[in-house]
Amino acid sequence: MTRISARYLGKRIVVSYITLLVIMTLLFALLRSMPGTFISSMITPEMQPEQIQRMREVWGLNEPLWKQYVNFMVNYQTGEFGMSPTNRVPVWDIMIRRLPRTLILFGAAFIVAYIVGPLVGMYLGWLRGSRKDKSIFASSLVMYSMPAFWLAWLFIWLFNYELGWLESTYMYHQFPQFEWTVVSTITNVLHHITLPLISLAFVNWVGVMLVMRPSMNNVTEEDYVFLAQAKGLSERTVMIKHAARNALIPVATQAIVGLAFLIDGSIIIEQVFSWPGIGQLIVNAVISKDYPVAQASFFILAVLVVVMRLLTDVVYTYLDPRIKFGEG
Amino acid sequence: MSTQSESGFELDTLRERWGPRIERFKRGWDRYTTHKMGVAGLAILVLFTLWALFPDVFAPHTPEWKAYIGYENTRMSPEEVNSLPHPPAFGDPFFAPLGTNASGQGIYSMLVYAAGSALYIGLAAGLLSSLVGVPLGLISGFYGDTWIDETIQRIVDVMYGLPFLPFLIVLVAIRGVNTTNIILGIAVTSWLNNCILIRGETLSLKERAYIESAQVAGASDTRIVFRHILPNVLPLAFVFLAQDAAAAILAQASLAYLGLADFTANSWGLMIQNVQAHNYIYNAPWWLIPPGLAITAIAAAFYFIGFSMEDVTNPQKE
Amino acid sequence: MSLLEVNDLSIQYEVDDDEVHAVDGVDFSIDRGETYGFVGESGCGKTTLGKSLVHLLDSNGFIADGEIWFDGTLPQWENDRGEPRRDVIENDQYPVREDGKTDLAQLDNEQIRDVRWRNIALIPQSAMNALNPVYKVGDQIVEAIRRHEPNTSVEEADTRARDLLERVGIDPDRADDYAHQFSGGMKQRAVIAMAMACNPDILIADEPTTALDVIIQDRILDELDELQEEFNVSILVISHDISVMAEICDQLAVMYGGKIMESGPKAEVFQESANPYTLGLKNSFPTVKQEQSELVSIPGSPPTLLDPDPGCRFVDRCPFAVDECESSHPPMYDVADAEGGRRVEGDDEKSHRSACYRVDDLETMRTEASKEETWQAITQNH
Ligand SMILES: Nc1ncnc2c1ncn2[C@@H]1O[C@H](COP(=O)(O)OP(=O)(O)O)[C@@H](O)[C@H]1O
Ligand code: SF4
Ligand SMILES: [Mg+2]
Repeated sequence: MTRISARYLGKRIVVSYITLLVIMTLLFALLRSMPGTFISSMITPEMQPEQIQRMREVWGLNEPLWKQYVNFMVNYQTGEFGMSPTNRVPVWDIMIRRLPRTLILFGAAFIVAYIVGPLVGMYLGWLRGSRKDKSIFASSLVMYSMPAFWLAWLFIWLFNYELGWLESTYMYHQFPQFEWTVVSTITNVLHHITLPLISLAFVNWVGVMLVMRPSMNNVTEEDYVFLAQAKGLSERTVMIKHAARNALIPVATQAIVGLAFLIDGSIIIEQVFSWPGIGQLIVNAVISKDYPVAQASFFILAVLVVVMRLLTDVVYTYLDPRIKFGEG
Repeated sequence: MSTQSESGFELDTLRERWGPRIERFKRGWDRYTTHKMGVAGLAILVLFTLWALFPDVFAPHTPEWKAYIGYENTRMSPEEVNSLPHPPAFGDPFFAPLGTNASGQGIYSMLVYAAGSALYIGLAAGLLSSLVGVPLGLISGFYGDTWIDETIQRIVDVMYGLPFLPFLIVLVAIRGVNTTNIILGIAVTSWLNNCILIRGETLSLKERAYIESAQVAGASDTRIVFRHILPNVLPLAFVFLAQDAAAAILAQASLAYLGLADFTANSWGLMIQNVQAHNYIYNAPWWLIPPGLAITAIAAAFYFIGFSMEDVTNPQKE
Repeated sequence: MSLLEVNDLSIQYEVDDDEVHAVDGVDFSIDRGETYGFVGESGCGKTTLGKSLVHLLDSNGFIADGEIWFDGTLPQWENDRGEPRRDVIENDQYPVREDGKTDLAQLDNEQIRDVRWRNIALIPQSAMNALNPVYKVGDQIVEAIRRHEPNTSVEEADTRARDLLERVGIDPDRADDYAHQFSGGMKQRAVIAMAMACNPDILIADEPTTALDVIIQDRILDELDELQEEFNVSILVISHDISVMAEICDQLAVMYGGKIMESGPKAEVFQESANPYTLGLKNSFPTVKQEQSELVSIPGSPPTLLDPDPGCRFVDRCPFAVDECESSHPPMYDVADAEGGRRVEGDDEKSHRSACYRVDDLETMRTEASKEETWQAITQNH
């Protein structure tokens, strides 16, 4: 890594950190602006006023607002997420348990979407305007238009209910006599992850394709692609090595948009498949008014978005030598 | 400028001003119609608009109608209740071409009556995010590389870090689940893309406009914005409006699925959610499939229109 | 024997059910080691002509008619000595004729790829953007070498690449740099080095000096000259700038509206121009040798070439047009005969020829053409 890309990445890291601080501030404002207080959901009619007063004390609600804000910001950055009033365990423990599961599903879908999307986008951009391009493009848009949960149900109905091939709830099943060898564990999880993964990726690869296709199309007009043709290289080499390689650069930067969609999608899909991750958690927490958990889940997802963006920046500097070695 | 002002002169300038624009619109329309996808999208949109405007023409009943009892205020017999949700029935009093849901309402009728809310959410959210994103993008692009641009771009940058659906969930949960809040929540994040893309377009248009008008002395900033940039950016704004509308309709459906729908307003998303709430996902395809297809169709229609328009407005393509 | 022999070549572009006749019935031939120039205003079909030789036209363009006989053939049709095999020549299936020449116009998409770069290297109009930004410059040369000489090892190809760069005046270590680290002139020279990588028979250079400043222009032209000496490569130069041609060409063809208007040895075409278009073109460019006080450009612009009218292509802008010019486009007349006042069609592609009905009246044409009023008169007529 060169000095220039290190400086570029350093700047991106600072921006990411500030982004997180702003998002947390927004979150704080959002939660304090709700009707009643933070703990209204925990208050039952039979509680004594002293009890309520003590609760306010415990949750720090008697402090002035600015102090609450400072505490919140400091605590969150040190992993102090507080206690969950519904589960009566530290929120941190819940997050640590749930995060890897979300990462597995999200990561797998991310990889699938970022392999299929650029590939299809490459072909369509190369053949832009042809009949094949038009029909495949229109079909992809139809896929992109399907409500994810509805599609997931159709998949469940077919592959689980009708055919019985795949599981539709939870991440693995655990019957008493199950032997946890490496192979059996993997097949066990595969049985459970396949349907949510397909449901998630089926819609989301299109978002990546939508960036790759016009990018590819622009690149095909470039003189270096013409020169590659003039060199007598095969069409395949020209398309992949010379055109697609360059078309990928904007895909890396614009991937954030698709990324946001993928996170949204995984929240829905976790819910449909009872996948025990953060996405399912945040929905349940909001519905059951468990605000410490909702707030922490929100925070974790925001960190996920920011970290993924940082990763795309790294990929970007890797893809584009003009950044790696500086314009000159 | 000449000081003459005969009435014929004004008409002439009017024609002179609008003639090329009408001409350009006609040419654009001709190019648009060469996209089968765009024409199909427009056809679907027209159909749903008709549903929304004249639901009674298309639907056999209103959503208040119930199987067996119609609009009467009586009760169904236990056998009748047991037969619900009922598959498609074409009998004379009991006419439900797409069957009924668990409370006996006709699926097809509900579908037709919910078209309005889908269009409303899509267009309102799309329009709102254009109203925010386009001016900000224009300003940002026009003042490119100044502190104004820098500030707007930083805001956009930060907003991109916001996880969209979680934000929407929290917002709606706190501010109340109603259509207005849902639309506002969707628009809060969907203007970002408009802003960035309009900014890029403005930057390059501005450069061109300054080069062109270098010969025409005395071109002011406002003139450049209104004569050179805005007319070229507006078609693009419509493209994003269509795409945002599609995304908004899908976002509303997702919220409905999560139980965050306005239960007083009938919507396709809510219809699907009800299938699950009554536990009929596997047993009542006539109930599950049509609303999903309707959402797919209207979102696809907006995407079709948006991407076809993009092709038309992009001069260097083809 | 000529290296390339082009007969009656016509190229068209399809545009909404109409055809653009970008190149229309062009004949010329190039010898080994010769520099052949095509000159003309922009939009006259020069680039189209150059690209069509190796089927690099835009997707809506196609060879409508004509032959492109090239002295050489595909690797798979060669024998050990690099000549076309007997059975290939005798078999009518193959577009190879008795003298060993192959008709490039008849090759399919896959076959022509073997001719590109190995036999005919084409440097596109904006060569400065022709280097791929994501690969090292040296690697892009290596790629070309290994495409056509698969038996060459990477190390060997790399050594050759560095050697080529050095020959065009670039430090061989810069092979490890990316295009954005090069200056405009260096990029241009790197592409020229790349073009020589497979030792081609013909180098097509499309506007090699446009967009470069004058000093670098000269260096590029010198570079081309030196390479020609060294590799004995034929060069086909395309330029709208007639003074560039004056410097480097042996033979010159003046193109207008998809047709060759005048062609022949450079000195003759240049000094004894026998076509109104050539005369007009010369007026509009500052030449290196003769100091011209004022530049007079030809009023108007080249035709669109969309279903052109039957008459002379230049008739709308020509100050010497007569009724005959409206009937059909003139054939190529022999200029030597014309000097004697006779109008005879010339068959020899190498000799000085001009497509103009009024070649028999050269004196008037030359004197009138040097006057500014002559050209201004056209604007009033039309
Ligand atoms: N892809 C294309 N489709 C249609 N017309 C084209 C295309 N490319 C070039 N032309 C037209 O063909 C003519 C010759 O163009 P070109 O070969 O680029 O000329 P030159 O190189 O002499 O400037 C011009 O009239 C141009 O407009
Ligand atoms: S043939 Fe006629 S129109 Fe054409 S160049 Fe000669 S004089 Fe001019
Ligand atoms: Mg050209």
